[in-house]
Amino acid sequence: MKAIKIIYWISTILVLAMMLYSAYGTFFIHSPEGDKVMAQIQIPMYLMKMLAVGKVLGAIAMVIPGYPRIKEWAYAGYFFDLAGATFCFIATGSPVGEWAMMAFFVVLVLVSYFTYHKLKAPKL
Amino acid sequence: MKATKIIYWVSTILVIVVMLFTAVQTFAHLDHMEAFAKQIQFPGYMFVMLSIAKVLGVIALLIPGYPGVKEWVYAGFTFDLVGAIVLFAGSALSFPVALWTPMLVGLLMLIISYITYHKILKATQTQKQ
Repeated sequence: MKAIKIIYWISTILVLAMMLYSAYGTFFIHSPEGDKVMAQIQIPMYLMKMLAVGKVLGAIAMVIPGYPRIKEWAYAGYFFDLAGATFCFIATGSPVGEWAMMAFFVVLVLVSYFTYHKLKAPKL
Repeated sequence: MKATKIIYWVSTILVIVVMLFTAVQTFAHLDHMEAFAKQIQFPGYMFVMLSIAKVLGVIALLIPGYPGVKEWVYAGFTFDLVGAIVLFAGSALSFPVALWTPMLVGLLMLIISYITYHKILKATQTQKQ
């Protein structure tokens, strides 16, 4: 159980850090590299902003104890966001190096999800 | 319980109709769908991705059981519809009511379907115990 707890916290913190950094970047960081990536995957800025709000709300839901139903939705949202992002990169023909990181986070969010259920086993 | 079941099925079928509506248009490569994607600055592949997700979601709703998967489907459909509404509301473009209606009705039906789904799920779980 202790190992599961450690795995849960590491994966969850990494996922939250990634999500919050991405949300922060959408609103506050404007770099030529970032613009290049956005132009490549052709995602309009307003969509990124909407996703950034979703990411912050998801992070709040995951950090606050309890509310299993809302956490379930947060995990679903994070999974769709990351899997969708991976799809975007692949669909626009980006090299593996650019989306490997995204795919890694898809795995990480699933690790967090399954360890979360092992620890809490909440009833839906 | 019978009324709940009827409301569940009517709302769920309407949700499925709304979801398959865009998916079919995407896969049929209709011109107005492509023009619409361009208008809202969506890359073409985005609708393909969403349409695949919608079809998978519909399948998951129709197969009995798997409450964990169904929960994610309801989450995904909500994000999709709320996202679409935010997109319409936040866009500088003005969209006709005809485009708004299916989304608003879809979201309302989704909420009703979700609530009745959980009522039925809870009832069957207590029955088993």
